[in-house]
Amino acid sequence: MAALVEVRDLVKHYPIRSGIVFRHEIGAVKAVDGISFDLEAGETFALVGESGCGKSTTARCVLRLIEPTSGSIKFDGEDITAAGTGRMRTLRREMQMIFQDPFASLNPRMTVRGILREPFTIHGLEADGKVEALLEMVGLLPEHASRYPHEFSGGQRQRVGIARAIALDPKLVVCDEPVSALDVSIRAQVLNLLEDLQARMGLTFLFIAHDLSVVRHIASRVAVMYLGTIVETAQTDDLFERPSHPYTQALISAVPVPDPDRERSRRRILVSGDVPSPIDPPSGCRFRTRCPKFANELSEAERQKCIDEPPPLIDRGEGHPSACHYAEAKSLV
Amino acid sequence: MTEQTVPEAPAVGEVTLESGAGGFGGVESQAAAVGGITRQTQFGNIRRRFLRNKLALLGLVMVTIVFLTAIFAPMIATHPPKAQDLTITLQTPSSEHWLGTDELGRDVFSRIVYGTRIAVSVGLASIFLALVIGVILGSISGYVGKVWDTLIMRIADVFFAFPLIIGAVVIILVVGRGVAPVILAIGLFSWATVARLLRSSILSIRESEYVEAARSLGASKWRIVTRHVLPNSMAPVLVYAMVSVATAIVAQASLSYLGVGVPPDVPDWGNMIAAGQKFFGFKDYLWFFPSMAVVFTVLGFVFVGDGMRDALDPRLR
Amino acid sequence: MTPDTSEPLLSIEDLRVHFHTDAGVVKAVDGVSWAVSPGETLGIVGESGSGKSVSALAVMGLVPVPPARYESGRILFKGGDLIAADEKERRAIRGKEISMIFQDPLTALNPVFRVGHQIAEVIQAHDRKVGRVAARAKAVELLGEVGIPNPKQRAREYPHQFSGGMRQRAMIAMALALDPLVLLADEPTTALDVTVQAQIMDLLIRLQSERGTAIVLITHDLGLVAGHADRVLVMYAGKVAELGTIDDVYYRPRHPYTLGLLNSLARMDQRRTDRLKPIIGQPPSLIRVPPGCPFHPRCPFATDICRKEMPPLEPKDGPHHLAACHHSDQVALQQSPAAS
Repeated sequence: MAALVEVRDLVKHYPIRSGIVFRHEIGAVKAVDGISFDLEAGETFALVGESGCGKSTTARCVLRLIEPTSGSIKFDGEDITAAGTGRMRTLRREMQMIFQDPFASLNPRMTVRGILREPFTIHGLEADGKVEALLEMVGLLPEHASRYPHEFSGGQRQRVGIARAIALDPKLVVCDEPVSALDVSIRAQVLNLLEDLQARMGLTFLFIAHDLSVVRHIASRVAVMYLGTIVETAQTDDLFERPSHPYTQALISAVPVPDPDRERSRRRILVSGDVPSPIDPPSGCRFRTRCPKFANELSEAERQKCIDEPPPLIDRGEGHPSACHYAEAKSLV
Repeated sequence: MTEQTVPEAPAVGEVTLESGAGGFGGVESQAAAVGGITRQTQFGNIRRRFLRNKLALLGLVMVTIVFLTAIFAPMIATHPPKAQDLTITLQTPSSEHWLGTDELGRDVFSRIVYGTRIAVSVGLASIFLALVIGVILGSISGYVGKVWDTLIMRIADVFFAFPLIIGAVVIILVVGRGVAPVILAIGLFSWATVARLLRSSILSIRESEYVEAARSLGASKWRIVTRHVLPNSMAPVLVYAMVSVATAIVAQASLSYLGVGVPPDVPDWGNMIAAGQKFFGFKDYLWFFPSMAVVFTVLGFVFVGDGMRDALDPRLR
Repeated sequence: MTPDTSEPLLSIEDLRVHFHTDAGVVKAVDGVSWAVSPGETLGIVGESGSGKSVSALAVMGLVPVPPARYESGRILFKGGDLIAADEKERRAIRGKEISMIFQDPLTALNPVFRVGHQIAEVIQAHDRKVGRVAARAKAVELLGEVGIPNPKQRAREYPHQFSGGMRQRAMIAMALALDPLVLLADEPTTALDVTVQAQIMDLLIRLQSERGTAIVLITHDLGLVAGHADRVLVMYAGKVAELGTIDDVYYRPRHPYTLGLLNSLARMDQRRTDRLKPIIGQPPSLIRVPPGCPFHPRCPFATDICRKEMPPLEPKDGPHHLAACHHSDQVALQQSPAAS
């Protein structure tokens, strides 16, 4: 059966222009530089990576909130890459987004009722009674409908944002770091809510996150992004127990765990330096400038391969695809 | 979550509402809503902050006085403003004529009272015109952008290049004298700032997450601009508009003073100052009181405008 | 370097700092005591609105005095009370003997001055005798020590030319320029990527072992504290909930809030077994702190006494493991998720 979402060779470049009168392109920020993945109906697929890796841009391209530079996106079998405004508007009922910042994602001048009615009004649907039903589904009370966003706490605002996203009974919900901006004791509440809604409504989640602990808990499959490309992708437990790309390994070993013994006895793989500029990514393998394997374990000839050839994202015998010429699974947790 | 240096005091009037925890189906029970706290809207906060500002309150009182004078002019004035009586010209203030009479025997006080009508109507109408033009063009410029933005901003630059009075004089010499031409002239040379202010406000609001959310819902550009962008961008424009009324009133008086404003028999402060100028030094009451009327009105609007800006300020994140 | 827990270097005793605002009195710090000894790292854990940053700001004298007011308590440093001290004494200590780093490096780094110049300025501010050339040289040396490559060239650059991680390193360099005895770190890595966070924490620990600095690490990240602190203080609603060594608190929590937090965290190192167990409700506003124990509305162990009486902070599991709860014995019966 075809996947719900099929992304092929997605590219998003932001051109940099120079010149006062005649602006010409002198370079581009290669935010997303050729990625492909599938999203199966009903699953929670996580895109993880650090700032600047392109995960948020990818998510917005899938929803066509940002126009891709090239590549194709298929939703439910239909190619939506070039779909017109009218078709996209209808399609938006099926694909929605939950935003990261609960303080910025709600219009401060609209009441909760106004915010929740809007999806229905836009699509010409009946909204009576829906607002109260939505509030109840996300754990808020009916009297909250007449209040303004600033009267709520962060966790409650996020619930409103979730209610807005599920209002039209979509198939796909993109969650852009939905709990990063929330207090630690509230995160669990919201994550449970997302799971409950998924089970009840048969939702598919594209989950963008940088917090690996949350990802391990909620995702069924994970793709790790670095500087605009996917470097490794696997079933969740497989990724965490047998990461084979050095970046994934570094990422996992960097995440602190609330367990003193574990922390004391962990093996740490440190990366050096800072993320290179996406305007001019390193040739061959992008991670080579910070890669501990490159720096410490490879021979001169092997290193040359990293400099010359970008490693393709394929299974090299470790059980899942990774983009490293010398991928080697390590157990870090 | 960013930790702030001053611990997060909830915004004035913010109610931390407690609600159900994990959503439906959870083991977690519903915590009761925090009772007994009056909910307050953002508007209430702004209004309260405004009213606490003494100067703003004073301004409000002054503006109200001017408005009421304009509305109830026939009842407040002691004599008809255009009634001439050449037997009692140039009389100093007395019990009969509170502020004296001018060179045609007209009662100065009554003319000042009726002068509020011109001032207020021209002030409000011209700024209203500026707002209409400015908001429409500023919105297109800010939200649609690209070619339209460049085009509109360059046109605005042309209007910026002319000082208000000079431009207004030119318009009036072309169109002719009268109240409407004055309104048109002042409005035409005030819209550019409105457009520019709104445009920059829109440029920042446009990138907000709630605007992105509206786009993701499938909202049309029109809906986004009218329901999301404009309501949140208008604050600086409204403050500017309030202060602009003051500028417009001064402009209008100046035009009259220069002799290109409303016709000379119409009771108007600028006309009165121009006429009274001839008697500088010995019949000073003729220009002094109209000048004070201008100052009083202008200060009132400025205080209100400042108060509005301060009250809105914490909200302008 | 093993921490010397005998003589605390910096301690606060029953500190109360309240902010008098239009909306009411914000009781940011309401009876908090902690102490840190040379060479040790004390972690202060709390969520936003717990008041954790304010106690550190109070030590530095950075709390704006109206609207804040020091209602009671002492801040003892090397035997003297910093609250009682005058501004001149405090300024001598601030930056030199106690220094602070923040979540946003741009708080400390002025964008219009070169980085090297700013560090040199700190050095010269505390010691008139040091000349400009010597100060600049020391600044370059410090930048190298904190792991910035090409320090000489970098010193001549502006903060905006530095990446986030490098700015943080520069801020650390500035904070450690005068070899302070205590470093207060307020969410130093929250805004950084996790790989950069690991680098920065690694740097701090290395500098600590070289210089014997005491570190107070303020954060909401329980994982960070588990990996880098010796003792931990858990704060809730302006008060101390629990205090002890990290093993004590993580493996034998005695306060329901600590237990609840540990239970609600998703774990990266374990296969998922079940739904997360959240703490119900939300953290209270510091203006309307619930009576009695501030955690009682959210506490599964709460009884009548919890609603009326604030429990004292007392030893529950040995003299160095304290908690403020009427029902610690019940909490003790629950197993900590970390102890698996």
